[in-house]
This record gives sequence, C-alpha cells and structure tokens, in this order.
Amino acid sequence: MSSSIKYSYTLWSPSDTVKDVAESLGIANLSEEVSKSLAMDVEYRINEVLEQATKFMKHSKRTVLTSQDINYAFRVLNVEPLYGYESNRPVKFREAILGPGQTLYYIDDEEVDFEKIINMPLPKVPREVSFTAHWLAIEGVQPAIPQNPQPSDGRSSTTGQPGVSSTEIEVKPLVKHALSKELQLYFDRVVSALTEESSTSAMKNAVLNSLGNDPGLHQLIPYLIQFVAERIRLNLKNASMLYLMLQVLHKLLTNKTIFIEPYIHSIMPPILTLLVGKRLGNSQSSVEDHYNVRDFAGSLLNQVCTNYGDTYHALKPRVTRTLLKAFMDSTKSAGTQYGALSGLTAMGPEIIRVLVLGNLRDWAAVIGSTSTVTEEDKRRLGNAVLDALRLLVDPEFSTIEELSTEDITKFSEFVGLEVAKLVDDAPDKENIIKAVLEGQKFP
Amino acid sequence: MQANFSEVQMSSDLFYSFLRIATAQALRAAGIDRCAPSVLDTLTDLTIRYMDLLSVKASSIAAVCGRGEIEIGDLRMAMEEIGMLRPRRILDETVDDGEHWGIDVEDEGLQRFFEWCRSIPKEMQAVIGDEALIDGLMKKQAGVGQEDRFKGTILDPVDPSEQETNGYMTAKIKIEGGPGPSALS
Repeated sequence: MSSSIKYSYTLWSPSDTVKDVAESLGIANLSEEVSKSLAMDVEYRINEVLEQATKFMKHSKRTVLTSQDINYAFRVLNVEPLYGYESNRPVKFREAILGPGQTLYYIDDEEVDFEKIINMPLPKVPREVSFTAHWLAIEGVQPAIPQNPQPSDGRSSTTGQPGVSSTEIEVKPLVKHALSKELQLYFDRVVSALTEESSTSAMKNAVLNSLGNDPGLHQLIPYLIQFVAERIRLNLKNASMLYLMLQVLHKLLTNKTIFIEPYIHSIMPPILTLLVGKRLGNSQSSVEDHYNVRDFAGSLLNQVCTNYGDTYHALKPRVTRTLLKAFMDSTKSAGTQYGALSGLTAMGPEIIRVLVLGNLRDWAAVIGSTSTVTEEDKRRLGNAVLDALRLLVDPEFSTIEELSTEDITKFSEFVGLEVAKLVDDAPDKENIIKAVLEGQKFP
Repeated sequence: MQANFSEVQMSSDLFYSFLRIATAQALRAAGIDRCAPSVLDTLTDLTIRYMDLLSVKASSIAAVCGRGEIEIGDLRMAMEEIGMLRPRRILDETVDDGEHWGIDVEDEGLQRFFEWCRSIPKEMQAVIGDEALIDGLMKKQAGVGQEDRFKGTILDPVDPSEQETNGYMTAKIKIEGGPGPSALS
C-alpha cells in the first residue's frame, strides 16, 4: 500500500470538506490517508443512493428528484432513513466566512417558539382533481369559447405584427365562416355546369357524381340549397331544369360525407313545390316529363321522411298538412292532386286510412266531373289511388275470409263508383277490397 | 386524468403542515416550549412513519385473517407487534411463579393504554369524530359570504350528482361551448 496517495479522484476534497466535518465533530487531527479514503467512500455511497433514487424518479415519469425518492432509495439499500425531510420547504444555507476566500456553508437552525409555528399561515388548500369537456369544433366550425384558441392568437404569430392585422380583415357581414378560394371556385363551376346551355350531359353527370360522393362540401351546402331554390323559382316552366335540380338535391341527400340534417327544413320547400305545384313545365314539355318530375319529388319526399321523420317531430305533420290542403282543394290542377296523393302515400298507411279513405268518394266524383282533367291525368290519378289503397293491404291482419257480394256493394258505396271501377280492373282487387273494408271498421 | 405531480405535492404539503402543528401542540402539552424547526420536522416525520407502520401491520394481520378491513383486534395485535403494548412478564420456565399469573398481570400494557385513553379531558373527547363540529369550523374559517371557499378542494370534495344508469354510476359532466337547443326539433 503506497504511503501517500496524492490525488483522491473524488469531488469531495479530503483536505477541505472532510476535515471541516471532522472538526465540527471534535476530531481535530485526521490523517491524510484516512480523510482521502473517507472521501472516496462517501462519494461512492452518495452515488449509490442517487442511482437508486433516479430509478424511482424515472419510474414515476418525472424529471424532478424529490426527497421522497431518496427515502425510497434508503429503504431499498437497507440504510437507516433520514428523518425530517418530508416537507417541501427549502433548506436555507447560510454563509460564514472563515478566512480569505474560504467560505463555510451551514444550515440555519435557530430555535423557534411554538406559538409562532402554530400561528403561521397554512399553505393553500389544493383543489380536488376534476375535469371538464368542451367542444373543439362543431360541424367544422370552432365555437369561440374561452377554452379554444382565439383567432387573434394564430394571426399575430404568423404575421409577426400584431397591430396591423386587424385592418386587413374583409368582413362579410352575412356569412359566419369564410369560404376558401377552392370552394368558391368549385361552387362557380358547379353552377355554370348545371345552368349553361352548352354543358353536355357528360359534364352534368360528372357534376352530379361529384356532389354525391365528394367529401368536404359541407360549407357549400347552404349556398347549394339556395341556388337550387332560386333556380326552381325562376324555372317552373322548364321541366328538364326542374328534374336536374331534383337530381342535385337527391345527390346531396345521398352523400354519405355530408351531415345534412340541419338543412332538411330548407330542402323541404323546393321538394314540396315540385310535388304539388300548380303547373310544372309548359306546353312544350311532354306530359310524361311533368309527371316524372312529380314522381321524383315524391320519392325524394319518401326518402327524407323515412330518414329524418323520426328525429324531427314537426316534419311529418307539416308535410302532411301541406299535402292534405293540396289534396282537398278541388280547384287545384290534376297534377297537384297527383302529387299530393303520391306524397300522402309516402307518408304511410295510417295517413291513407285516416285522411284519404273517408274523402275518396267525394274527391273522385269531383275529379270525374272536372273538364280540365285529361284522360292521361285520370289514368295517372287512378294509378296513384290504387297505390295508395295498396298500402293498406296487410295479409296478416285480414279478418275477412271470403268476399261476399254484400261486401262488394258496401265497398263501392264507400269509395264511390269511379274508384270501385278502378279497383275492379286491378289484378289484386280482392286484397284491396278486404283492406279497405277493414280500414273502415276503425274510425 | 391523473393528478399531476405538483398537485400531489401540494396536498401532501397541506397535510404535513397540519401534522406539524399537532406535533407542536403535543410537545407543548408535554411541557416543551421552543425548539429548532428541524427538530419539529424530524418529530413530524417520525409520527408519520409510526402511523404508517401501525396501519401496515394492522392491515397485514387483517389480511392473514382473510378480511379486507381492519378491526379493533387487528389494531391491538399490531400494537403488540411493534412493541407499543408490552406484556409485564414473559413466560420463563425456569421461574416458578404460579400464583402471579392472572389475566390482569398479562394485560397490564393494554390496561394502561385504556387508562390513558379515558384520561383525555371531556372537551377533547367531544372533538373526536364530530363531523358537525368540523363542518362548523370550516364554515367559520371560510368567512361570511364565502361559504363555498372550500368547495371543490380536497377538504370538501364535490360529490357530482350521480345517476345510476344500467347499474353504473355516471357523473354529470358539463360540456362547454356546445350548440344551443336545436331550433329544428
């Protein structure tokens, strides 16, 4: 063993620190070797404790080493714990200058009266852990609640001049959100493709396909609906345009990526107009075109009512009221009657039973006597009536086994001669008669 | 949804200061008026560790008996294990002391403990376990007009109105900034 170890390879200086501690304990003469070995050993122990303590810190997913970690390290290493380091109050060190350039740091530990300690203010009572939720964005729009970043935060960071940006905003007073350039371009293209004479059917089909399948159209929905409504208003005489507009609406309704529910109430007026409007198309368009429009409108109505009739309780009653008004008003054209009847059919068998069945005889009489009703119209109306009556047919529910002649007379009395003749020509007349008679039983 | 680190520190700080005051009161009752703050810290730490040891021992004894909750017997056995209640004499075959064995001799440590418990003055006994008293003190501390000061903190946790749906308790969470009641329905 060498007699004098010159350097001790430690941070703890044996000549200063260890000697000071020994002196404070009353050991005046500590040999160099002893203090060197002591310094090395102390440093090793401290390293050991710190290693274990940092393991605890890492496993608690923290970056701050606490006195609690050191306590746990002591437990793991089977070392006696150090008492008195639970609280988080900082330990105050005081300086004492011994000689030129030599300072000694010691812990200030004066005696304190208990009165003072007891009357010291308590630390703040922490809040209990809780959480709240807030909407980040609804339908693509971010609500301006305090929890969301304000638009001014983003702007000032991008322009770098917070004061200037406020004057550069263009304010669109009626619009809650601004459309991007791409969306505006898209909208203009769609409008021009649908309305211009020169656009081919291929282009129209492309536009319709895009409307039906493309995501990201959500912000354009109000504009599109407004466009459709206006076009319809201006072009009541142009059946092909009307049909096209209905196709646009149909595509919007079937687009899976658009959430169309909030706009249902603005879609209904165009559909109903096209269903029960007085005159659709002019003398140049064929009757078939005109009835096609009404049929399409009726199927759209059917689609909307089945999909959204349950969520919006006011929808079905309002539609039914409109349709019934059109149906009962005999001054309206045959087209209106047809539309109203097929619309009521879309509402369901209950509506037919309650509202239509009782009025069928009188209605049929009026229609039969009106001169403006053509043969074609009558045929169509007849089909509509049969379809409506067919809705009542429910083979599981029928109580009548065989139809007697008495039943048949009762039937024709109830629905009137014209309708009875219609039903007679139908292949499933027995089912229809049975269904109507049963429907009649429940007032 | 975990309490973050500083929250845990804050609540343990609060409880530590409470205990420190209690330790100071205990020392005062024993006749000591002043001391160094580090001494008080050390004593508080010792109290914490002692209570910890007692509860851990008692719950392990209860677990051995197959129970999940501590009963008074578990606590008594724990006190004996850590040496708080010691028997007066331990059985020693070499000594023949037939007539001194009696239940009261064995139990002396426990009896002394009981006497100490009973010697707590009446006013202190009234405080133990009296929830109404503590609520009243909290209200007084909160001050007039600010009765809700301690609501939502760890001293008075808010009990979210719980509803039982499908056998699960659900708490009502308020969601901010949502759409108003729909104009369409």
